[in-house]
Amino acid sequence: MKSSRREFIRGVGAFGALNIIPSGVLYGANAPSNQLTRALIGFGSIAQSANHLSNKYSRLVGICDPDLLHVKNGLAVCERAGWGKVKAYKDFMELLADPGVDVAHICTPPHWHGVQSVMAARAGKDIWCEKPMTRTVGEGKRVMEYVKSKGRMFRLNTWFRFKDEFYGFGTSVAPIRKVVENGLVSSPGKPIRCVVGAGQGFNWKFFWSGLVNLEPQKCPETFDWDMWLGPAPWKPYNSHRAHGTFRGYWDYDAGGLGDMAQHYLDPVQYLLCKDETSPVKIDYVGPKQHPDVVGRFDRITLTYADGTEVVLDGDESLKGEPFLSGDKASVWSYGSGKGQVDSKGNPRMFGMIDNSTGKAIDVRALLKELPESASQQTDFADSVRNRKRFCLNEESGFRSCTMFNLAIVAERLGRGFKFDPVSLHAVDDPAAERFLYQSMRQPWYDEFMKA
Amino acid sequence: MKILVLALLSCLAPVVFGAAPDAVAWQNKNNDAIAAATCDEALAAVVKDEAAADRLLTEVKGAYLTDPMVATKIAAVSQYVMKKTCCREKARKIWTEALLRRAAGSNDAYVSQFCIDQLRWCGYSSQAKALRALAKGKQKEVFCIAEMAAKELESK
Repeated sequence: MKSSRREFIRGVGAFGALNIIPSGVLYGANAPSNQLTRALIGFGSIAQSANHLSNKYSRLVGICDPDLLHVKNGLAVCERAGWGKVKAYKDFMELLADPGVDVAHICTPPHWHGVQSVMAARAGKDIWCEKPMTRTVGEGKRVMEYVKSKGRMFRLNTWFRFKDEFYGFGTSVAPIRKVVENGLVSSPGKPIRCVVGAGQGFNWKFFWSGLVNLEPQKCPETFDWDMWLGPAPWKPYNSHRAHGTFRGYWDYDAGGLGDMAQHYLDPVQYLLCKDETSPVKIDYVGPKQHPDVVGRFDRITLTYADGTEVVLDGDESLKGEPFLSGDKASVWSYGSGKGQVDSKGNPRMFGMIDNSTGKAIDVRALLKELPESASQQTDFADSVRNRKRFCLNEESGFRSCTMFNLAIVAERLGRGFKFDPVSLHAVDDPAAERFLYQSMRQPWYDEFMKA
Repeated sequence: MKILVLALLSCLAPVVFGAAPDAVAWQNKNNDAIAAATCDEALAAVVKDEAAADRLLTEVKGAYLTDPMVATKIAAVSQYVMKKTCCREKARKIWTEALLRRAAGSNDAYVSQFCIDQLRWCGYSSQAKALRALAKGKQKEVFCIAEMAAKELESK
């Protein structure tokens, strides 16, 4: 579909009256015929972020949203951002049917991500999807398998595994991964404990909570509530359930955990070298949850088969712990207050304490001795053009999303459970299994499941 | 800065949306009461017989009006009856049949939906047929969730 559009445009250009010079030569890589195109599914606040609106890796050609006010505002915003007059699609189906769109940017709430990723792949689009990748393990598994079977390029909208300073640290995760994969935190075969909480520089954003006693409201005529709900169960409209506050409701997301888990846990998965597996045991400490409205958790522990633990510290009881601890050393972030400045007075990237001596390790000197980690594919335009899988793709993204999905199952069960990272099912736990694999409202379930 | 703005918006939500607290504030305020209401002994008392189960479910009100403690307790019962440690089959039978009765007996779409939603987590595959039957003639919203729940139960 993509190549036929480019060939068509080139053909028209070649037969243009005085246009005997190919536009790719005249305009270089930014020639319209060479440019990738993208369209945004959903135009709320996230669609207006730099990754979606201002990103120049491709040309923005259209938007859609079930809220006509979003569409009206969005057209003006896109024009001010320098994209000219983009197309307003009637709905995302019309967007996906447009052969002039190369990449579908999915900027809808999480309850839509699975369905829209599968439908986009079916329509021959490459996909850039907001996080979290999906709402359940079942949806993630389907997306992973389907996108791969269709040969589409997929990336998630989180990036800390390959760029930017990681929360609480004066560095990206690359140097932290180096010390882990070279056995400097734990000896080979020995587990690592990773704590993710306020003390280590992470904020679980419990303010993303829903309201426990809403009232039905009259839905504005400009807003298609039924379409916004999509695969989620129908519930009476209340504005707090949609737009900027949908995160507070289990039907659509999972509060602060839904907002931040994949930003935090994808780089954790990467630096712990766990991209190809998932936790086998999940433990939960916290209050029982309301069936509709997302509350808080105190502690959720995800344990891998080799004993490695990732602990989500909600009540800050682990504030004084290091970010990583193993049998050889511990790694500390700025948030912990340890290892603030290195021995030469340089602003440190992270602190590292040798267990045997109790003394700080010169991290910069240490890193110079270590080999570089395997390189990552971090250019999505290159991925799309040359069919090279992006580093945060449907498989690695599924695994880090599974960490998040397992955590919310434990939260909703009010207890822990066991998980098989190969079969991707709960172990001898029918109650957990029901949360892992959920159905959807029609017609979206059929759209999600068909070949 | 963005986090500060979002936190401020969250604090303003009760002002904008009325006096309803958010779930985190409600949990923090009622921590001990939630633990007491959802401990195993309290949940066992709900499923000791049909009358006790029906009594709790009559407290499900239309359109988000159910007391959050009641809603949280109901969700906890649905998980309790799935545990292997209690007298599971008898308790589960009592509870799921009570959910079906309440869903079928209410003219309020939200009440029916609420109960059907709970059946997704604890219902029997044999109850899929009953779910579809109760949805006939009900509102479209009830029909949709009943179909969703029936599909899930059939796969168990």
